[in-house]
Amino acid sequence: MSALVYLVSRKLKNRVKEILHRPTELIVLLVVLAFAVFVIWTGNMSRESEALRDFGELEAILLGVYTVVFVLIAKNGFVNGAAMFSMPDVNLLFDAPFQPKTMLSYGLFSQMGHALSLGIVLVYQYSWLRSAYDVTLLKLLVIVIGYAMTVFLAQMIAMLIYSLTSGSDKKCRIAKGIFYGLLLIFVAFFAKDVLTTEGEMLPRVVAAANKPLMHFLPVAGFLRFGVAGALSQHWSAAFIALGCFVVCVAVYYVLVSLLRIDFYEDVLKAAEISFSAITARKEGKAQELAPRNVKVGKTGITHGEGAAVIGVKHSIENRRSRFLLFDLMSLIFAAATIIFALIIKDAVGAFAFSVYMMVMSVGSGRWAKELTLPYVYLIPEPSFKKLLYTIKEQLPALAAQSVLNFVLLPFLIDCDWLTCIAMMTARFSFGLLFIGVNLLLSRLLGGNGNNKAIIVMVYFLFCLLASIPAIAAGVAVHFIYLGFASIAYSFFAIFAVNTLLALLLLFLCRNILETSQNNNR
Amino acid sequence: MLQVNHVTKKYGKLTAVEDVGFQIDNGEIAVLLGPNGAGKSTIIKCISGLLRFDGEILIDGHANKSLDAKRALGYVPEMPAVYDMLTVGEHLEFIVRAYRMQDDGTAERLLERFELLDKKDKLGKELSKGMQQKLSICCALVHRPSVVIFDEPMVGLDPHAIKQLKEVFMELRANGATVLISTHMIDSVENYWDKAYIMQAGKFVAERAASDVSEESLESLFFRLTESGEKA
Repeated sequence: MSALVYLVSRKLKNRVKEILHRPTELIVLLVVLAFAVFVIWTGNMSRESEALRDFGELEAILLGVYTVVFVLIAKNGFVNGAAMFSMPDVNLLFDAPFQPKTMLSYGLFSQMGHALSLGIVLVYQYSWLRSAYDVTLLKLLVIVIGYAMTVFLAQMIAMLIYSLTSGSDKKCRIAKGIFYGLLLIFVAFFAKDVLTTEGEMLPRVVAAANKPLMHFLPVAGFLRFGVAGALSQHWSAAFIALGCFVVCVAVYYVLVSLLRIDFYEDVLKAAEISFSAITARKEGKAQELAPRNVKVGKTGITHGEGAAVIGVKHSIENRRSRFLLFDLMSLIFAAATIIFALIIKDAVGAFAFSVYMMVMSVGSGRWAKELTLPYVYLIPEPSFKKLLYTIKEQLPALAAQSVLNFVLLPFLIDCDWLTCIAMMTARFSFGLLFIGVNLLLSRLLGGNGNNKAIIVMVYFLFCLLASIPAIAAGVAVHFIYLGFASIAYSFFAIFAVNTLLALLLLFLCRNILETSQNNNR
Repeated sequence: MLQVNHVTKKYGKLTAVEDVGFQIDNGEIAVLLGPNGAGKSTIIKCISGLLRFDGEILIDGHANKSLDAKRALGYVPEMPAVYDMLTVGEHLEFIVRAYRMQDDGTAERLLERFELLDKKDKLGKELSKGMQQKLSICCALVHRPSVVIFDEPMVGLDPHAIKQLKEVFMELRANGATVLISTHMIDSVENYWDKAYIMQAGKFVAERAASDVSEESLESLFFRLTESGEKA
C-alpha cells in the first residue's frame, strides 16, 4: 500500500475511533446528523404547500456563493499561499522520497475532502432550497460538489499566485491588479445591468447575475454554469464546466513542470500560520485578525487608570486592527441580510435572518479575546467594573452594524422608517443579550468545557432560550394591538425585554473575573 | 509572604492538585520542580487567581482573589501573554495605569535590562517568542510586586536574558520579596533556591530547604523520586 494511502486511511480510521471513544463527540455527531435528517424531512414535508420560486434566483445565489468562496481563498495567494498542508505534512512528508507532483495531488485532494466535509453546512439549507426551488437531495449533492470544486481550484490558484509572485513586490502588485481588475470588470458589468434596467430590484439582480457574460467569471462563473446545467438537466453545460475544470488542473500541472515551481517553500508559510492558529486555539487563545501591515500610528496609552484603561487599550487595538465599527464579516452579514430581504421581501424575515447571523459573531469581539489573557483577571480593580470596561468596546460596533443591516430596507422592500428604526434597536438588544449569554456560559462552564462543539451547541441552545421572553413579548404586543399599531411596536417590545434580560445576565455574571477559569492550556 | 493551605484542584473527575500546602516567607526563593503533567502550572494558576480551587491561598496575608492580594502579586505565565496590537512600551504603560501606579522609570529600566528598549515601539505580534517572554517578565515586575510567581520563565530566553533574570531573582530576594519559580530545568535554579518542592501526580513528594544538610543533590533527589515513584 502506498504510504500516502496508508496515511490518509489511518487518519480517517483513527478519527472514527476517536469519535467512538469520546461520548461527547459522538453525541455532537449524532445531533448534527439528526438535525440534518430533520431538515431533510421537514424540507420534504413542506414542499407540497408552497409555490416554487424562479430557478434563476438559485443560479444567481450559486454564482454569489461560489464567487465569494473563490475570492476569499484565492486572494490568500498574495499573502501566504495555500493552506493545503499541515505542519506534520511539511515536516514528515516533504523530506520523504515522494515526487513533488504526488505531494501536490495529495494536498489538493485532501483540501477537496475538507471542502466536502464542510459541505454539510449546505445540507442545512435543504429545507428552504427544497420548498423554494425544488432542490432534491441529489441536486443538493451537485451543488456541494460544485462548491468543493470551487475550493479545489481556488487553492490551486492561490498557490500558483504565491509561487509566481512571492519575493517580488512588483510581481505581486501586477498579479493583484489582474486579479482584482478582472473581478472589477465583472462587478462593473453586473452593476451596469442592474442599474440600467427597470422594474423590481430582485428580478434585475437575478437577470444581471445570469447573463451569459457571467459564465466567463473565472472558476465561479463556469462552475455555476455547469452546476446550474446539471440541476436543470442541460448536460452539455455540465460537461463543458467539467472540461474547463480538467483543463485548469492540467494547465496547472503543466505550469508546475515547465516553470519548475518548487512549491514546498510556497506552502510553508501558510502551513506555519495555520499551525500557529491551531496551536493558539488549543491553548485557548483568540487569534487577532490583524492586517498584514499594521500602521502603528500614535503610540502611548495617554489616559485612563484602573479598569478604565482596558477600554482605552481596546480603542488603540481596534484602530491598529483597522476595526472601527465594521469588520469584513459584519459587512458580509449585512450584505447577506439585504439580499435575503430582497428575496423574501419581508422585514420580519430579514430581521430573523440578521439576528441568526449575529449569534456566532458576537462572541468573537475583542472583549472575548481579553478574557483569554491573564491581565484582566490580575488587575486589582473590582470585577464588575473591569467587566463593564471590557465589553464597552462592543457596543458602538453593535449599534453601527444594526443600522447598516436595515438602513436600506425602506428603499428596497415594504418597510416603513419606524419599523426600520425599531428593527435596529431590537437587533442591538439581541447583541447585548448574546453577550450576556456568552458571559453566563463562561460563568457556568468556567473553562471546564473541553469540547468546543458541545460548547457551541449549548451556546446556541442558551441563545434560543434567552430569546424566548423577547419574542413572546413581541408576539404579545402584535396580537394585543392587532390592527392598531405597526409591527414596529413589537420590535420595541423585543428591545425592552432583551435589554432588561441582558442587564440581568450582566449583573448575575458581575463576579466572573473572580470565578472564571482562565485555563489557558 | 505566600501561604498555600490544603489546596486541591479538580478538573471534573481528574484531580490535578491534591491537598497541597506550603509557605514561602519574605526574602525567600522557592522552586517548584516536577515532570510534565505533575500539576506545577495548575498550582501556580490557582495562586494567581486564574483557577478555582478548594483550600486557602494567602498573598501577604490577603486572600488571593482580594484586590490587596492582586496589587501585591506579579505573575509570569507559562505562555507569553502579549497583546498583538500594543507596542512593547504600551504594555508596560497599560500595567502601570491599570495598577494606578506612577511611572518612576521602572518600566524603562526593565526594558533596558532585558534588551527591549530599542524594541519599545514594536508591536507585540512582531516580537519573537523569546522577546514576548521577556516582555511578559517585564509586565509582571513593572508594578513592583512583593510576591512574584514565575511559571517556566527561562523557556525561550537567550543566555543574556537568563543571566538578567537570575539577577532579578537575587534582587527580589534581597529586597524582601517572595519568589516562587516553577521549572523542570533543575540545573538553572541549582544555585539560588532557599526551598524546593518536588511535585508528582498532583502531590508534593519532597520538600527540601537549602539549609538542610544532605549529600544528595537536588537533581539526583528529583530523579530518584520521579523515576522510582517513591516518596521522600
